[in-house]
Amino acid sequence: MTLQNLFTSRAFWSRPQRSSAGALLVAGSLLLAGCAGSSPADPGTASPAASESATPSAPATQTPTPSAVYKPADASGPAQNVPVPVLPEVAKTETKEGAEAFVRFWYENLSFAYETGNTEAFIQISGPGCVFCNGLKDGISEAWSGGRWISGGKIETPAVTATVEPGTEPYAVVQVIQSTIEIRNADGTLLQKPTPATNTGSRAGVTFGASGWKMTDLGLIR
Amino acid sequence: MKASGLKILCAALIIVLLTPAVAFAEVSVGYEDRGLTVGADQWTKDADTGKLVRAEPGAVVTDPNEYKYELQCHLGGGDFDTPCLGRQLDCKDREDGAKGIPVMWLSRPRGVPGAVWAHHSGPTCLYDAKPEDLLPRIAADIQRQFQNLPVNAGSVVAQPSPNTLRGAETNFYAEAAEQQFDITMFGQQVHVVATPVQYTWNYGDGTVFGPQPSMGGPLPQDRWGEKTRTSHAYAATGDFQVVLTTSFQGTYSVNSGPPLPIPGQGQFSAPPQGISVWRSLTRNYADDCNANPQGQGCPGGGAPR
Repeated sequence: MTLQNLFTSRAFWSRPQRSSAGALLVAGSLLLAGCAGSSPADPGTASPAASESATPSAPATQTPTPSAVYKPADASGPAQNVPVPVLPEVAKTETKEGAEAFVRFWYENLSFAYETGNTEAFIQISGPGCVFCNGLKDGISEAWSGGRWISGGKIETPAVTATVEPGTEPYAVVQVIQSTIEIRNADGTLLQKPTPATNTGSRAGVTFGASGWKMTDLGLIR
Repeated sequence: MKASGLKILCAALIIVLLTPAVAFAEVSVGYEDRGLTVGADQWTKDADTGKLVRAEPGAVVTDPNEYKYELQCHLGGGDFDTPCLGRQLDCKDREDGAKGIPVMWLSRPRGVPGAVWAHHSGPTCLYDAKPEDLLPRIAADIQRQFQNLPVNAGSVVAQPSPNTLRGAETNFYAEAAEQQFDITMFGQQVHVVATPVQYTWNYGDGTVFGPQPSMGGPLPQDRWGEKTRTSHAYAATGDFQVVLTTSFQGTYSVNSGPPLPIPGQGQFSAPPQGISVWRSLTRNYADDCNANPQGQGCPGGGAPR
């Protein structure tokens, strides 16, 4: 299990320029899978032998191999080939649209962290003083420690509205939907009762600097 | 005696040793959970301006989501998802003949413009010929029902009581608890949970304190007279009637559906508690009763002047 986890993160960090293409492919196949109406989690096809054969050499071949296909986590192991979020061009601009695209991108990276245990990407685009961001990082790291992995916990942001006006700190109001979270022990058993799905409103304070947007003040709307 | 004392000590030690392991098992990892755990800023919509403002610490927390239900397997209009109907929840008709209809519950955050509805829970059963508008009917009436429930406001405890001294801090605290009720509304079983959230003290001498979130708490006897968050010092002697009014927040769940917030709070008052305020006089004497048997409080002493 740890092996797969390492593989996911290594593939992500060593070949960032290829991963975006991979992400598109995976996204495309996901869309197709969605049309077929099949359930995304299919524990029936999970075979530890198949996942172990997914060696880091696989992405070197030009044709997509079955191992490059995104597979969500389940009781048998963590997610594989999780698409790496891609920063859209518009998210680099200091505009309302830019802030909205950035906030969506931030949550994609958070979702990526839940699925892979790799929190580096979303922390890199968070301000050091963002208490909630650091809290999320610690929670995810704790869940993923000791050979454990997270199944579920994916995040969607169907509604994002930013306010970028001169004289005020820019912020966005976000709807954050997170699916049920299961933390699996190395032997596949549940660490604790699953965390139920949530549907939350958040206020995301963002700051535009030399390196683009950063999430600087994240809070909950109650 | 000694042996049993040791046993208790050992039991306490074991509990202490076990506790960290239990606490360690609960990883708060969910987005919302984590935000509440680490104390992320909380924002509320200002009722007047509609703008988001930082919530004041200690403010009463209301459910930030709103809820609705849809008929299970309903696709909209007259269309139903046929494969879904095959595995639909089987709502047995009730003994009184009411037909059971399975529904799915959805929720969305209230403070987010354009928020979409997402699955919350269910399916559960509703019993009504027109389940579409059942919830609005219940919602319209729940506040009145809530206020009419026999909710116990809690009891008032005063320290010291029933007599206290003028000018001294008298510690008042409430003993109020969560209460649950089962009522029938429009033919549905409605389960109501009432939680005390705010307390108003009317000390009977014209002083009103609250509403505020502290129910206060007991003081050990050797600390009576200390000022507490809910204590009061009477300026005059006399008999006073102290009335506690407790504000309850409620949730209601229809036929085991999700707990839905009751919009307004319910106010419930406890029966008045009488307290007598006395004055005290202090007189100092240089000698004891042996030297001055006529001193006040001494066996041969005279009546207080």
